[in-house]
Amino acid sequence: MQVSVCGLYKRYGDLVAVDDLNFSFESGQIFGFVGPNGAGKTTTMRMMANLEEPDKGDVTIDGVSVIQFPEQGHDKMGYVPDALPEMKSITVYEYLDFFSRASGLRGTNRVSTLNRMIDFTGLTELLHREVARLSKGNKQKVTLTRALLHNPSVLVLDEPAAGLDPKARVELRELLRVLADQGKAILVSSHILSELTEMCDGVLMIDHGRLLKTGSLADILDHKDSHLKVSIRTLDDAERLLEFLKTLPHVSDVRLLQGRVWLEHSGDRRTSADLLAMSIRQGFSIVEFKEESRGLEDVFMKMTHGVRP
Amino acid sequence: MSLMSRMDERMNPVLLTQLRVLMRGKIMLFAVLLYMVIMMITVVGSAPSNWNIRRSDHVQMLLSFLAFSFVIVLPTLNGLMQSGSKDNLELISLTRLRPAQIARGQLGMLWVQYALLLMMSLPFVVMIHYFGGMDLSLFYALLGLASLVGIAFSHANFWICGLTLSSGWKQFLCWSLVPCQITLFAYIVSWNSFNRFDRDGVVILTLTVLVVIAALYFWLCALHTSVHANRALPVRFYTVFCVTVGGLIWKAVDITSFEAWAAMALIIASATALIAAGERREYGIRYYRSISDQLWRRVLLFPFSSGTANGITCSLLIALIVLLLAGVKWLSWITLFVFVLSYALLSVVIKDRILKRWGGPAYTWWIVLGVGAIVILMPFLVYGLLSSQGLEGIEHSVMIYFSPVFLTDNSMMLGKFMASLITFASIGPLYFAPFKNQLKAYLQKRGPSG
Repeated sequence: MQVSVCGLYKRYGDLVAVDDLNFSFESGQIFGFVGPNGAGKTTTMRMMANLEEPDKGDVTIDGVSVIQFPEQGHDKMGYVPDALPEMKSITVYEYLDFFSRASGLRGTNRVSTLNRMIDFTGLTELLHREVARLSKGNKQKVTLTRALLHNPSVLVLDEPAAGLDPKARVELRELLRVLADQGKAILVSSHILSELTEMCDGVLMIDHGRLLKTGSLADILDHKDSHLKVSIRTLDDAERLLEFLKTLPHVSDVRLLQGRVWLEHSGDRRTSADLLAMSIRQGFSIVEFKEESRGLEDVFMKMTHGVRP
Repeated sequence: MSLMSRMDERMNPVLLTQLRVLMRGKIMLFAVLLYMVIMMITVVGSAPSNWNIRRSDHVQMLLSFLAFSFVIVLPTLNGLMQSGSKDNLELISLTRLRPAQIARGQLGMLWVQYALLLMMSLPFVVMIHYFGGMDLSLFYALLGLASLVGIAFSHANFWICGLTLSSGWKQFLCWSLVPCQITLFAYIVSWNSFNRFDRDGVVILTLTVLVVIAALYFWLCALHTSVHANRALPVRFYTVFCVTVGGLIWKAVDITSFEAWAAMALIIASATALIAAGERREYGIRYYRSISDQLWRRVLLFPFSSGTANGITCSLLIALIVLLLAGVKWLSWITLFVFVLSYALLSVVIKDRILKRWGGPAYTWWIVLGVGAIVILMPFLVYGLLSSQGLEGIEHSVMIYFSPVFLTDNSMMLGKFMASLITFASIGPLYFAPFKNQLKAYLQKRGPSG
């Protein structure tokens, strides 16, 4: 099962919300969707879920266009919006029972599916509580259960971790991993990039509606052809080391922080080794020279900085 | 599978869920008990020995209570409005439920409640009939009419809640309907003085309320339908159907003045033209799929479908129906056509040229609706004020608006024709090309990419 987004384009008046977006992900993958506020993430996801119509482009699931055939798209896709259910006086069971009926499930099949999903997401004890009175984490579970009722093969989740406490975030992460292992293709947007690093197999970065980078997490975080970050601890005067490093080529963004010198340099690990050798030759007693690993956050900041006017 | 289980499976999911909530809720139980107690006190407390003599007063009081008891439905309305919020409706639209099923489920809940109220009032009505010897069928007919009015207002509330407005505006509009509803209830109750009973009045009011209920149902279905689909089709088809059938009945039976129907139809034509100004100029992917492959169907359905060009054609069609039924001369035809077209194009220009960079699409639509109406009515109001004839002047100026149908004064009609022609000549070219393109795209069934 492959989900492909091809040349998606959407404008609202003069604002181009999504501009020729192309990406794909497949069964068993959790794909992270990253971008600053107003980058076009929600618009893209809404177009994928058929809540908005693109001006151009298409979204296909195994070659079948969900724009041309929305009914087939609805059957194959489960959408979790960023808004949580706020209905007063409706219990969790009534809410889920309604959506199971609305999804076309009938008779014993409906009852067994409902019970299985309730067990899976751990909502059994909350069935008779009013939806509006649940915690954010539990509301998110209810929304996820609702999206899973018709057993979709693709899940699109818009900011599911927003506002959740750490325990609820871990639970959500584990649930999504189990779903991916069951063979579902999952697209999840989030502002918590460290969260995505732990959960995702691939990442898609957009800004101003345009694609910045897409690929597997390993590719995105790969050190090749990018800057490296290094921290150095010396027994000598750190300020003097800082001044020396500033004079070297390839070195940028040198800072003194908590007694350590932090720097970024262009090039690969060979350049790092040269920097260390030059510092020692200059007479500095280096006791620690550490390459800092780059996170998704660093990559994202760098990418978005690059396209901002 | 038992009968109950089969019913449970076949029931509309929206209706079923709302019924469950209603049965579980305490407010409804409290309201029903209170209603029963008040009715009991009213009947027992006012049961004198000479009931027959004063029966009209008692029936009046009882009918008042029954009519106003329909306020009991308000908490349910509130619950239904919550379930009909934009976020929730979007999620429902991702299921297999169709817009008409959602609308039927929501409105069915109100019908169930009104039916429940009518059934609950039955013992009290029978009691009064037994003691007072009143006309039971007439009493129930009036009560049924009051229920229909209540249902019509509940439908209207629903429709308002589906609009793209802030919740404050929605509440304001919904509460604004309450005095109108109470006034209509009072009007119906006043018919209870049997000597003043007007059978024709009851028939006209019942038919009007039924037409409004059906219209609100179609509008609600349209609101629940995706903006990308051809959602205007049933609404416009029903509107033109009502205008045509209504006109034919009015002309044949002549229940009341034919001019009243013509005036109403022209107002509908104007509103259709104004609404068309806010619609799409280009057909989207999903809309394109819904256009018929057969040319004759495409031609036939063009005026009823979504889209600016389609809506304006629909308003011209309504104007044509008015003129055909009114049987007026060719000059009147041209005058009215140019006037309606100028009216519509003026709204399009306001939206596209003046308000292009101002406000969101939803607000722009409302402004066009308001400004267009003010601009088009202004000359008549100014004429009325300048003529210094007070209300008479305004009445006369409103008559000019409908001049092709009602007035035989050629100089006045010529003036209107010239004014419309100047408006049309100045703004028509701006819109002519897009209109032509849209018509072509529809008839050739050309996709969004051309």
